[in-house]
Amino acid sequence: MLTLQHIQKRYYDRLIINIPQLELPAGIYWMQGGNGAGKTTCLKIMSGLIPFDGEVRINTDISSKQHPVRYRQLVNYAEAEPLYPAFLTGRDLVQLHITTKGAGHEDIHALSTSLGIPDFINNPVSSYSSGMLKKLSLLLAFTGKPSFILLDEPLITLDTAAIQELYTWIHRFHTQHNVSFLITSHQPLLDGALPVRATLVLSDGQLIIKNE
Amino acid sequence: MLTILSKIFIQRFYARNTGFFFLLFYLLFGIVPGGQLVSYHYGLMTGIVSTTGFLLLALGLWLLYNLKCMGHVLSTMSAKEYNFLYQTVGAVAAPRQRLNWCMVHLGIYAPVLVYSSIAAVVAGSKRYYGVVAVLLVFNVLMCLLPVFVYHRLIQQPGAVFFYHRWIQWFNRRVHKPLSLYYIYELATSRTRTLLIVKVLSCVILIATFSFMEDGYDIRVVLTGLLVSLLLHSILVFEHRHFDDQYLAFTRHLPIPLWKRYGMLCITYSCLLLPEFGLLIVHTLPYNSWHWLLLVAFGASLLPLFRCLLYFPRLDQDKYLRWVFLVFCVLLFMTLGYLYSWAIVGMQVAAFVLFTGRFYKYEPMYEQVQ
Repeated sequence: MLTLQHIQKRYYDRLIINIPQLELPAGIYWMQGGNGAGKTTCLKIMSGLIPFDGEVRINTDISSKQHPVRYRQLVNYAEAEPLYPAFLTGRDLVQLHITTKGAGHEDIHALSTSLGIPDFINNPVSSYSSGMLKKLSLLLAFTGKPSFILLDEPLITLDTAAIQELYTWIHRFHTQHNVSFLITSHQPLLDGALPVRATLVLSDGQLIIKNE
Repeated sequence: MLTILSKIFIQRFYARNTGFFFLLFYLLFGIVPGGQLVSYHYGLMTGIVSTTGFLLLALGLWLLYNLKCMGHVLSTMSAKEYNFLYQTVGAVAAPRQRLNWCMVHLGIYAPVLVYSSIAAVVAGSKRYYGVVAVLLVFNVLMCLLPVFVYHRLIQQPGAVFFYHRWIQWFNRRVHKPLSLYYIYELATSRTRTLLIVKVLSCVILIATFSFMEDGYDIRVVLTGLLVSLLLHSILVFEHRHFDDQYLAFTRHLPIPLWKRYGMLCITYSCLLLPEFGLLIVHTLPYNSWHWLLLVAFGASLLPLFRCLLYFPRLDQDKYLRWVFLVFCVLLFMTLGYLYSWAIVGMQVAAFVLFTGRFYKYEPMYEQVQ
């Protein structure tokens, strides 16, 4: 379970996010919100990437501020537009994530093969197309043994086969490994492809649960 | 055809590198009084041909210049607007094509060719025949190898060169450690800045060692090192930008803070390896442990500069003011024989800043842009 308490995030004294209390029990969630509503900021807060006022906890007792290392082992995050140093290869990034996060729920090589990543994994990321980069960043989000995976716009730039494969991964990780997901997407998720527990709507900095 | 190739490659090369050549011209001809110009260069060439170390240094610099020339030609050939070269130059008979490339390369390699040829004549006049042979072979290779590369590229557009194959082989076998990411970035994308800082830094240290002929004093060496580290402060400032833009994802990795701090120290220790090498070689004959002190000093100050930047509102002006303040404090501590305390102080300050600020840091929006 992911718990948010008294969350506030300001930029230049402007309140962007204001979530007094929110509990997300295990499940798959879809977050909606217009452009600039603060979805990415909200995910970055939940992943512990940026400073904020308040408290975010995973499994009720692990705080992103008090136990940053343990928290980062349990919450993974994939950016909407991943950016990596040009000289790194996909293999370098996979190795870095395996080294820091440890063994995963599933074999990372099998996962990467199902997305066709081994074809370009030894090339520098500067030579990747946006779709290849997206596949790599999604693969990295499935490394380690997370309880919660936050996916920011995972469907953009992916081809239809890769989208289908991603749905399969999400479904399998949720049912077999009890991993929860929070997905932001402007595109509607494929009907019935994922057992979405609730839709979260971010508007005026407030996060409201809909369709529970 | 040679006229067009000259316009595309030779004239553009000199136009694009006007600043570089102006600086070179000033260093070689501007800093010496007119009457001593010939004797100055004669002395310089005599030094090159009579000292092995000096000769190797000169050959190294000429090789770098040749790589710069090759880089210019290859990047021009790869540019979209010059794609027509493949259909035009590529259609000419091979011997004529090689001759054209040879003329192009000679046109941009000429400054080194002329200078090294005169050096070879000086070597001959002093009966250093071995050096004459070395210079001759070196220049022949520097002229012929690029011609082979240009010709191959024009014949086989998109061909994978040995270098690229080697890079792929390297990538398959070697994983780049996180602590060396910034060194890779400097070496691949900010080569010019890195080279300028390193050359100036080494020149400062070599000048410092020349003072030691009158008597060894660790404080003199530390002062030289301080100035050399001051030069690196701009690389440290760029480090924050690199971290903000490309390494934001690493903040999400489950790495303990002490380990992250250790990696920061490793990064800067690796960056300072050439300086450390010079310091060890020059201080070891005088004292058996001072080198350790100097290495610790360097590996403490640059992390401290980096940790200052975990205050996001510290822009370049404010940062340089802090750097100057730290520099002054350390200079007085060094002169007052408090260098060991200075190292402890720097390490403690850097570690406290790092652990206190790392998770609270968020880049300013404008800086990331």
